[in-house]
Amino acid sequence: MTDQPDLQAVMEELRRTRQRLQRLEDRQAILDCINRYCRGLDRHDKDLLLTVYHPDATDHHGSFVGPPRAYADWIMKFFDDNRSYHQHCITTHSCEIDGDTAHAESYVVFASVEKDGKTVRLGGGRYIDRLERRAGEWRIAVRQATIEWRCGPASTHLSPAPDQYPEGTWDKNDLSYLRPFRLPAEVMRRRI
Amino acid sequence: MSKAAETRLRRLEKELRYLRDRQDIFDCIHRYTRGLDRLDARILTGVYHPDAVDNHSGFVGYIPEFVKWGIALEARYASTHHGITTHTCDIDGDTAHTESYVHWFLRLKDSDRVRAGGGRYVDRLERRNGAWKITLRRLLMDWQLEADGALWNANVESFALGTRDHGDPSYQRPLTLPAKLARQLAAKPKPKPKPRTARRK
Repeated sequence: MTDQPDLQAVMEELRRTRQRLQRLEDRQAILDCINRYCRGLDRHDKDLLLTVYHPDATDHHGSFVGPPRAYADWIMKFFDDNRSYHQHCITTHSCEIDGDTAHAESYVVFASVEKDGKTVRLGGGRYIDRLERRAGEWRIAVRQATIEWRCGPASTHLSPAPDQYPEGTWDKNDLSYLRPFRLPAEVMRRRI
Repeated sequence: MSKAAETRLRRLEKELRYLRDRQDIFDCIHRYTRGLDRLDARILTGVYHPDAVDNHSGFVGYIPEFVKWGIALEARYASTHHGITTHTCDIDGDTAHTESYVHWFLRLKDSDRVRAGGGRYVDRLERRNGAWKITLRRLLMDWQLEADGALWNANVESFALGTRDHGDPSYQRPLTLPAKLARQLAAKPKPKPKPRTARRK
């Protein structure tokens, strides 16, 4: 069998391709997890928020240190009591993977509208995370949040939904949950 | 090929396809903001399927009209800057649903005021003939503020400003320095390349 060595070379190449691909998949899954956190937070979707942590994880956010479920309750109460809107945006992201453990740093820029509906505050910080892959799934095991700058309230909130832009909501009625996504009938009636 | 090898190859193909889909979709969403900030109708049109619908503000309609409307809207500002941040994506066969956060910063014409805002593009995309493009887009507004932009306007002299036509450096291939900067550079000593050391395997 003269082609036996060739087959072995192909299998070896396949193995290495598999490794490279796995790395890309891991990177994507980790960034997806961190983005999902923002989405869960901004939609007040506790179920979604809890999918980003392992159940025994620890989150240290300002005065809070504790497990995911208690964190979700704490942060949602804070937003309910103090904010009428907020948005968390992931920007610069770096990530190191070593086997089933990853360390990631993700910058976040946040905007929040206070209860008066007028004052906007902007701020920026970082999420410093240790993630672990368990049962094939990357989730956060330890998170430290930092806040590094804040400004405002030297700013005036313009109407949150000027000129017929729809407003987001903090429940499953938000348009981003709709599958398949389609326009509401009252909007379609206005179609030119 | 052995059966095991064939199974592995098939799995690789599937995984690779997923990652490529994710990248193509993300590229499409980024292309939109680039087209908008450069007032480039060709780029904007290219991110939608021909029968796609866009719903922005009071506007709902098909793409040729949307592109005209959108460019006229953005052209009212001295400059615009849209940045995509938090992005989530579900793919199901040839359909994808995405949510992409966007920040915008607008410089008002003939004014020291600037606006900043944030919202989300909620999109349904489809893959047709191998190309992922938007079939339905809605912009949801989350916040917007207006602030004193005197600082920004005061710095215009010292920072290079982009343009909203094909003269913008982002279109240049290959990228080079303008003549004035090239002359400044020519007066500076050029670093000598380091001798190449053997690459570690």
